[in-house]
Amino acid sequence: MSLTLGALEEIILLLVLKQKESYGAELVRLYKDQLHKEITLPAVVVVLKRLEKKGFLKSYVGEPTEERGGRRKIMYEATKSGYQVIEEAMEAKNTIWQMVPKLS
Amino acid sequence: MTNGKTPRLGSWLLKLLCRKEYLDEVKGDLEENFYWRTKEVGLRKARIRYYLDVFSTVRLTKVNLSSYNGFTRSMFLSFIKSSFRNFRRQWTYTFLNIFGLALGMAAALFILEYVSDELNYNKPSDADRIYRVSNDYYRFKKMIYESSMTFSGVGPAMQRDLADVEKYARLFSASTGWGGAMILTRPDQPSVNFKEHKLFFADPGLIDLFDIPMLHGANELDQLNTILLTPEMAVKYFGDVTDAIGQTLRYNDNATEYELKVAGIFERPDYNLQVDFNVLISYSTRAQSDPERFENDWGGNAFITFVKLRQGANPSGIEEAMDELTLKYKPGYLEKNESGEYNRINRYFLTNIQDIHLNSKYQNEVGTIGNATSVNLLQVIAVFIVVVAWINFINLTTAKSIDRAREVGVRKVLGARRKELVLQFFTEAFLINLFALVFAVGIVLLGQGQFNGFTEKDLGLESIQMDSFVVPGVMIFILGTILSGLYPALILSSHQAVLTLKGKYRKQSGISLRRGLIVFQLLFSSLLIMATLAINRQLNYMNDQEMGFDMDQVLIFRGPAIRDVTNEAHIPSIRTFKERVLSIANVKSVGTSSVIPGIGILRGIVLVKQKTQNGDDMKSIERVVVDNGFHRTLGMNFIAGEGFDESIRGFAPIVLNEAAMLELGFQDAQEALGQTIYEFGQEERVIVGILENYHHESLNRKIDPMYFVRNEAFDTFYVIRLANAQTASAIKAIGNLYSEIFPGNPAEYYFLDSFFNNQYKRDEVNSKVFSSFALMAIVVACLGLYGLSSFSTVQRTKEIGIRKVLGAKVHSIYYLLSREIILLAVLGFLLAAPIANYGINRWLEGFAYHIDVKPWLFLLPFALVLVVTLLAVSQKIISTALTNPVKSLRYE
Repeated sequence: MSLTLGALEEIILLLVLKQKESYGAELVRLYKDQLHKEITLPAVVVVLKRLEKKGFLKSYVGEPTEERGGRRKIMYEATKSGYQVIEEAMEAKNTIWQMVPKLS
Repeated sequence: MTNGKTPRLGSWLLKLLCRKEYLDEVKGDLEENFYWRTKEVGLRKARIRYYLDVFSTVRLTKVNLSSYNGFTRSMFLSFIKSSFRNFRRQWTYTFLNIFGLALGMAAALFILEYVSDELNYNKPSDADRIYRVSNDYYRFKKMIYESSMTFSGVGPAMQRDLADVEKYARLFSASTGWGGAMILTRPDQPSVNFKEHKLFFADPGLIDLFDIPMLHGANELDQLNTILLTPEMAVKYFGDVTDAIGQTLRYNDNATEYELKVAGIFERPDYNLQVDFNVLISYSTRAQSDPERFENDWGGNAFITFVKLRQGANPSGIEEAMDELTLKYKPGYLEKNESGEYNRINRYFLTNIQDIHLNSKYQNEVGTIGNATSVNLLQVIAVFIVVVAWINFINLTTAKSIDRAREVGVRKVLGARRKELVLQFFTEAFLINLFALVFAVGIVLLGQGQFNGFTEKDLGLESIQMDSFVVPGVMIFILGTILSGLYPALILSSHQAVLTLKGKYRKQSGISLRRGLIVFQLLFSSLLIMATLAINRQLNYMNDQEMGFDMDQVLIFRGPAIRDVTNEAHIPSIRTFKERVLSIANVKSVGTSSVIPGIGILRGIVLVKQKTQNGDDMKSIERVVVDNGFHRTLGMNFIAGEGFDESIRGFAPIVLNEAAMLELGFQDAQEALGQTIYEFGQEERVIVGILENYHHESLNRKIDPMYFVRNEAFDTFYVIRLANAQTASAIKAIGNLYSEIFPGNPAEYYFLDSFFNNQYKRDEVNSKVFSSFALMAIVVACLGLYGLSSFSTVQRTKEIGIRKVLGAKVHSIYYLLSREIILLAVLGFLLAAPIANYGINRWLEGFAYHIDVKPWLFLLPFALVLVVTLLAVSQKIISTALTNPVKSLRYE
């Protein structure tokens, strides 16, 4: 399995890092707030599972709440390697971005 | 549903789709999202989003089957795997199956394309309340004419006087019915001029009625001197679509000339137009010069009139109301005879515009006309071809069942339940059908060009109509797959394990069904071949028939439209043209006339024996205006007297054809010759010749009574007979002469024989369509027979070996094995012949002159089917019969 990040994986991982810990429903909401686009929940869940498999996220069982119909949520938290891989990716992008001639 | 509760159906779907270990998590997340979305965007939108989420849970499905119901999944995979193994092991049989099915489906797809296109005429959004007004005319209880076009006053009067009529639109063309020519010219570049055949004067409402999309400019048909073009026309005259707007075009026909402003560019709608037009000129342009004739006339039937009724209006009520309207606007029609009946009657009919294309009965119909019967027949054929293909499949599979009995036995011993066996065979059937469908689409894509070539349509898979065919098509496909899969599956899975493993299983299952199905296949194939043969014979008959005149090497030039003088004064130019044409080498003779053979006849002119005002004696006979040279040029024969000649002077001569002579009540030609009769009841005409009947129209019509009067000024058509040699140079010389003597008129010519034979075009297309589908059907049937016979022969290899050892000859074995199939073919023929006989006779009734139905018309197809069937079954039988018995008996 490739240990690089796809575009959506990157966003989701960043959002998890921003929240310190998060879960599917919250990420759908955050995605909409930040990127002003709708995303379906299964798309998010698929990415979360993939990131977990790659070892960039770890999950644990969270508390059940009223609005979830009493179901427990699965919380996700970034691992150390998760933090590192996103740091590298962002740095690389930033370096290139600095070199791009500015339009205005 | 209370706030915050997710839809029940959704959670059920979720359970079905989602992987089990994620189910709780996803369900919770979804419920939470649903909760805040309800608050944010409202319940309705939240629910839509929720369903979107649920459906996209498909992406979490993958592993679901294995963990949720491991048994089902692996079983399913095993079905697919063993299906493929089986396909590979018996690839010829599988190939036969797939190929046969694919061919059948491809034929059905082609037919659906064709039928969809035929049904897709005149379908604007309000089509169901738009009607075409036609009328007939009775005088003294005799029908004078039936016309698809009506009078100019009808449309406006209907809108004015009838509350249920919302809108009307008329189309008028100088060329409809009587061969006038319409020419458009660019005034700034007079060399840019063309004859236009799809040009109409149109009321502004037409654009709305037919939902015609305007690309540029606007529908300014409500103004004087405006013209609308299609993009192709704009390019033709101005080189570019956008440049055309605001430009000027000049219109000419035999009578009028207008300068027109290009106001807009319209596109043809996405359905087919029954009356196709590519140039529209505002109707008021034409009407202004002669408002009496073009706005309020009730005598000249030259106006295609469409009306749009209000919602819920009853067309037959309108037809009745029209009777009153006639009397209001045609006071002359109030006149009654002694018994109180009207002397003259017009009746009006409303035809829904969608029905015109396939269900028209009018001789003077403008536009393309199809045939409802052949469209219906083709749909039936489509279904039958697919059924034949499925029958193959069922036959082959059930026949194979013995072969697979052992496999079934082993499976059963190993614990397979019946349900699972059925499912397995069903999976195979489904896969084969699926492959066949893919192949069929491939065949259609490859063969499309060819098919479009002979149907002369521009078709593709996308022409198949969504709503009326795709849904039933898919349903038939699924049903067929289920039925064709289910029966073999049931047969195959019914074998008893112990018997099959002992090797004692020899029971032939489903034999009578199989025989029945073969009979049906052969019946259907013979039917198609008989029909094809009959159509072909009739077409040949019509082409070979003595027409009564000689149409070979006759060139037709349309008369000029642009002239600077009136009819009488242009005679000198016509004379000059004819004289100079005659001086060209290879030209034998030349003549002019108002109509030529192949142009439809609308009887309506009056001729009487005695001078009279009383309508009872009047006969309606077609009138043709010709010059001295016409009859000679076409090589027509006279029974008595002569044609028109220079020497006939001092009185008005007339020529009748035989039919007209009899209609007028003359006993024989000699009696009629020299008699004086009266045209229009008043004008004296002396009979100088009786013409032998000739076929003025196609052979599906009886010969109409016609008469000919002489007038040099009518040069609607020039008929020119050429000698056989160097046609091309003669045509070129005539063309040059034409441009010189009639400047500004594009020279347009064609050969009379090809023009005349155009009338048979529809029948020719039909013949090609039928013969190609007959071919496909018989190929499909043969594939099945080949597979079946080779299989049943292999079954009897051992028996044949023993027979040979005991001294049987090859031919007796051949007879033994092919006897059954011959019997079935005979049975199929016996059933097919009466059906074909009935159908062919019905079809031939549509032709006034037709072939007789003779026995060989059925026996020949039967012989063909028999030969092809025997060929299909023989190869395997003979090769088995020739096998050395040692080989077939060695094992065991």
